[in-house]
Amino acid sequence: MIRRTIFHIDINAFFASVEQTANPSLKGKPIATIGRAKRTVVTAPSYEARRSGVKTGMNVWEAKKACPSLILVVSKNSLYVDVSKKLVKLYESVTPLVEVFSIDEAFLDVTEVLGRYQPEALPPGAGNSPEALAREIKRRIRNQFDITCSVGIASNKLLAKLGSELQKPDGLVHLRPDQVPQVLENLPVDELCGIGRRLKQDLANLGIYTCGQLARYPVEILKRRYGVRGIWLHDMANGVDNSEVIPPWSLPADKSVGHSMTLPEDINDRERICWYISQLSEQVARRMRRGHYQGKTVSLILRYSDFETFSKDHTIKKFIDSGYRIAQVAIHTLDTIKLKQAIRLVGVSVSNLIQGTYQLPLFEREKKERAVTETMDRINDKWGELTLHPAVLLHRHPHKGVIAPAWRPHGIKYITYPNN
Amino acid sequence: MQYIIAEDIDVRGLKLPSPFQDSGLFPMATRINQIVSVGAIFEKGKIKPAWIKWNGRVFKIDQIPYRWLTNEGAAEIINFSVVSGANLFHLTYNLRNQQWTLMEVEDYI
Repeated sequence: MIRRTIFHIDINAFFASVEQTANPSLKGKPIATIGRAKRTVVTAPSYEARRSGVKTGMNVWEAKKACPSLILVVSKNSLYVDVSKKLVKLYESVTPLVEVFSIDEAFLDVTEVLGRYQPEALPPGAGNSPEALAREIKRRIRNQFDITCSVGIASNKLLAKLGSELQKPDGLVHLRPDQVPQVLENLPVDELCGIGRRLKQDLANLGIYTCGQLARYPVEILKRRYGVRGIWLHDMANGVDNSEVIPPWSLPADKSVGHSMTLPEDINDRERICWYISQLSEQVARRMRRGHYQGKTVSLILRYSDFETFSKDHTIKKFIDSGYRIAQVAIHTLDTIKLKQAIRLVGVSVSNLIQGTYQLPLFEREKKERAVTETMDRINDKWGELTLHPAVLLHRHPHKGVIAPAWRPHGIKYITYPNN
Repeated sequence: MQYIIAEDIDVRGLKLPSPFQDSGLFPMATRINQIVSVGAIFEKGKIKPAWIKWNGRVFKIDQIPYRWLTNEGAAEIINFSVVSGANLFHLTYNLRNQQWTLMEVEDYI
């Protein structure tokens, strides 16, 4: 089996760095990007701000307290999307095997290009070395965008990502197979991609805190406790990951389409919750129709003011893709829930999807509904989202959204953002 | 977040955008969203704004740190981040209606 060479490229403090590029007077200053919503938080602090203790997720008051000279910049999502798309093009000029992991992270499988790639401004043969290729990519990113990135090089995605985390900002780490056990030995388990707070706590209950401890833990016990995930945990702790870099054309079909929003204030008024559900349903439906998807399970996601989050699904008999129908199901679900507290976040998601198959409308009412939806789509495609919208959205919330981790530069996960 | 969109807004943002206005934590950009006259050079398939006429003043553009594309429906919009003296303007050019809009202004100090 050929040993793969995988790069994980992580742009350092992406949003803040891009803002510093668009406004060079911010270079070298502590800045933080924030959302446009009333209850916003820091979405990305620059490294200068991080040094003063500003962290992602802090509210603006906490951030200003930590760093009084902090400059707050309202996020320009359309700018970040543009830079991200250009970065992907840059990566694709090196290898066609690029998997976008998030707006500022990507995996590149460079196995096949090493030895053949002769980047300009490098001596002949320099493309033979993964480090030289990584330095060339770093140089191009710096030249084109004036931003830095950390590159992790390894034989699989798990270790490449770990490598890029080890040196920030502007890092370049090549994790060679003989170094892996030593690097993993004392690494906290939650440093591995896929181990969150709950799993970390659960592992701690077993006396497992580091990857070394997890690697030595009997796999049979892990398997009994976590099922197939137990084997996955064991593999990860040993630096084993057989997953491939999946370029856009090989991506599996999407399993769900969803949107959520944090509300400007906590509410428990049913009518207002329904407005938000209608707005989110329209957004979800537009993306579904763009990707030729229909679905029959609608999930309503709610978060109480104390941050307790839960969702409730409802599956119907017919596949649907209209915002009105999705909202109807979600509102029906809302009416089955006895709210304990005010709501701070609402989300709507549709799953159980089929793609490219349509049941032709049989009845006059359905035919008319379809015709109206298609006409509205054509108008909105030409003149912009929600130029024409259902009357219920007259009360819509002008939420511009924070870029979701699921954002991708293609398919139905590609979401465009208006100019502020 | 609500911005004050006003014809007569002071460039230095004396009226601060809500909800930060009482907090002293206001972000640095001031929303303008006004159609403006722009002198531009069209060269080698690229558009390069040279000056902006706004509020009766002409602002000569010294530097264009970044440009990016967005869409408004089918219309392509070219966004420019441009520097004029101590100001940084976010300027857009709508390719469908050939209109220049001054979106925001912030300090460039």
